[in-house]
Amino acid sequence: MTVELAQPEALVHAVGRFRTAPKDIARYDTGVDTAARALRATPDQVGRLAAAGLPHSRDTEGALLFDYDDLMNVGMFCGTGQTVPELGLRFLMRFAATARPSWFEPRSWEVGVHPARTAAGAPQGSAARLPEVSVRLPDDQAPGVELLDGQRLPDGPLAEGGYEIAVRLTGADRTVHDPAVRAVWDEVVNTLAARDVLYQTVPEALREDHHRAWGLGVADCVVASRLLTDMLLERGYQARARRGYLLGLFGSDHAWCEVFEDGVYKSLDPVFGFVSKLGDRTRGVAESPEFAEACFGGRFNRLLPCRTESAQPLVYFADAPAPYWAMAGVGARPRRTA
Amino acid sequence: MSTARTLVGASLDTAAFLDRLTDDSDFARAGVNSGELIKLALACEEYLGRALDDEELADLTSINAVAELISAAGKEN
Repeated sequence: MTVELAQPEALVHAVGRFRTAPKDIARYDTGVDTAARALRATPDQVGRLAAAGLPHSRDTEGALLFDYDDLMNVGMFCGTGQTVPELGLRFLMRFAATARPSWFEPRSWEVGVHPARTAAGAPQGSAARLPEVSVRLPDDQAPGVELLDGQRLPDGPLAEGGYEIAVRLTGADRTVHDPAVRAVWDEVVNTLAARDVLYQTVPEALREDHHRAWGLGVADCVVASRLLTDMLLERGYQARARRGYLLGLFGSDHAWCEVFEDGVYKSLDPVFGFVSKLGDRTRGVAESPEFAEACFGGRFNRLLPCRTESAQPLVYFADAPAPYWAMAGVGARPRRTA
Repeated sequence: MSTARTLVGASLDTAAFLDRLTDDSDFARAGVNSGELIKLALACEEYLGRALDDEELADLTSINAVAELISAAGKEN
């Protein structure tokens, strides 16, 4: 089985199609071999990115170093449909193509959050030993979240190391009725759909300043959710930006917004809404107006919220958001009962 | 080596890591990362010649689970 992309220039097509990380935020610490593994490409294909204009630096031996988020965007925008970022989106969004009741019905999961097995991708000079990683705990008090087997989680938002839980997630098939909320939602989703703001990977440091990111014309789920939350708060609504895991093939970091209406918090997921509204043939995501509409108020049974009301990072390393190479692995599997 | 183990091994960033995976090792607990799982899902689709559905994707949690998927599809493991 070959995993390399067919065309030597395949990745180069992405350059210029997305916005690279601002110079004050970019971290050029990812070598060619690590990048090739992360993209499912060859080192030669990665190396060509520098000549094509992708920002980079060199280490003391002259080897190329790229920004990891820039590389993820190369994967998303090269148009092959075969890189790891493209395939990840395809697999994680496959649930949107299932029958509507399956989005909401109670569903039990076994979720494990574990420290990364290796720091092999760490930049030169990093400690050889794995760092102590802190992870954000699930919000077991959130509606629709029920820990199973009498488990209890520690108090506080974070725990060191990791955790394993069994949890039942129950979705809610509902919508938001307030037309003013709909107008704000439409503004954000339509801006993404029109590509006035590009949906792409955004470095955590830029997510922290989501208004700057939006102004630069880039957004991911965290940026869009925080922005939507701010817009609702400015108009007097009770809203919050949530962050947790989208469960499926693995647990993927995801953020969304919630607005309070009819005595409950209702979920607003602008990125899922935008992606499913348009579909993405290259990345294998089906268009689904029904799912896009469900993102306006519906709560899905595979989103596990964590303890944050402002979409703060899920993994920390030495009190700072974890670099990619220190990220925890998140496993998710449906719980099978006899 | 079984087909399932071969598919998993080809999806790992570090081939030697396969030696640390027993057939019933939970991928996440053992440290298999998301990129490796994505590659494995694609490898399974290519081997079976069809897209995996949502349930099948979520069930790719061990070498044994991959073997069950292959067997259920009537392919030799």
